[in-house]
Amino acid sequence: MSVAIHGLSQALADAVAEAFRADGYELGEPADIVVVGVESPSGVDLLDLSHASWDAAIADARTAFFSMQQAARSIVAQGNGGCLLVVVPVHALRTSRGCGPAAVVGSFLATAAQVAAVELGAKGIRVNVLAVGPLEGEADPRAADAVPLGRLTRPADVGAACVMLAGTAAGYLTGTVVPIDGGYVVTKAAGGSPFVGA
Amino acid sequence: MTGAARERGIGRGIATCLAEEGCDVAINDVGAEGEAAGLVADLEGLGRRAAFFPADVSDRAAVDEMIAAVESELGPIDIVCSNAGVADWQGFLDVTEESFDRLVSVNLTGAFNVCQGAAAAMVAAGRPGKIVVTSSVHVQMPFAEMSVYGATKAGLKGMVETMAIELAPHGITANHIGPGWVRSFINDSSPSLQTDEEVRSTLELIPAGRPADPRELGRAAVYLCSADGDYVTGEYLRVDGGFVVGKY
Repeated sequence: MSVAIHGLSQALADAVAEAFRADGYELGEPADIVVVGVESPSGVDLLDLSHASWDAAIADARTAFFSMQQAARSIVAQGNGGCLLVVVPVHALRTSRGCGPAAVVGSFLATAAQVAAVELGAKGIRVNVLAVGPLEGEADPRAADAVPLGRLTRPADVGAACVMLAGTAAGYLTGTVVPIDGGYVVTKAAGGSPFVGA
Repeated sequence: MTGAARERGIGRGIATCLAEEGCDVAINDVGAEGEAAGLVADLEGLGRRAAFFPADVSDRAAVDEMIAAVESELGPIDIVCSNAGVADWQGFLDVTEESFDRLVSVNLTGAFNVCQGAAAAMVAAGRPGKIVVTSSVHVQMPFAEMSVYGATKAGLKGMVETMAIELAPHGITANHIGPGWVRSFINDSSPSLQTDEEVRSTLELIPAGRPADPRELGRAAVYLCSADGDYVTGEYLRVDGGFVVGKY
């Protein structure tokens, strides 16, 4: 089983590669497991978002979409089935102030991945989405207050989840959107309730 | 009101219902001048002011010019309905770059251009406002052969929800409406709706047993744009005859 990784930030790409290597996978093309991601666009309010920033976010989504398509074509050509893992910001599931581009791009790719899952299931290709929470080292550390598990997402969390979703234990999973976020999307409120100040 | 000129279209239904409630309406579309002229006459017949502002929503300069022209001719914008959309049917493995770019530039970037421009005009005028975006049942119900179309509609959900949060301090609400099957021109080319038998089998999937009339989307928009909808923001209002219930 060979793994290819496209479009992730360097920190995430390194962690995902390390997780697969540690589990005995090889890295390289042609791959039957392909991880495709977008970097979380830096956000400002949509009212103030420059056209260039919007275009850059859309261009990232476009690159990711066609990376998914290219990967799927390659897996079909190899004829042994495979798996696509699409890494998007958790704002695909629930947005926040200043996170418009991440919500748009994440929702866009998550739905594209679900349609791909529907169409490619009969060819033995599973497609699943990882909705990644605010990352340690990138997000405001105070955001950890709103994470039930008490810390922000680490790249290794994403790597481990990719290995899990690529493995045989997840062989009947397709079209899912799995939050890799320590429970952030459940509440997003410090203390677990918007009415509890923490 | 973008994407409003075409007969049988959702935009025309929304424009008509808003005019019936007392709105003066700026009609936007690309081409379709004849149909737009007919709609303008209909709305004027209701005693409202109406005018046609042709522009491609994916062209930012054209959208900015249109918004300035609307304000100049009809006055400050209180409501913006972003409805212009295009569809293609292609398998995921066969989606072309041309199709991807066409759908994304109109459905997603076009909506951003229109909503951002109109919201900026509302804020500059110091007036509250309403944003209503036409999304789709695809937001929660991905269809095979419509990966890009469905993705653009899901992207609109992310955009509208974020705008709802960010624009609330300005007194602006942002919501999206989810049509199921409307017998509009956009569905005329659907490969699964070409024969009477295909239409019958599609109708069997809809609990209400019929497609929507564009006016039914219009009445939903009226609710969201009225005082009754002042406390509703970031919401998704399906108008689909129960199409997705029990399936998704």
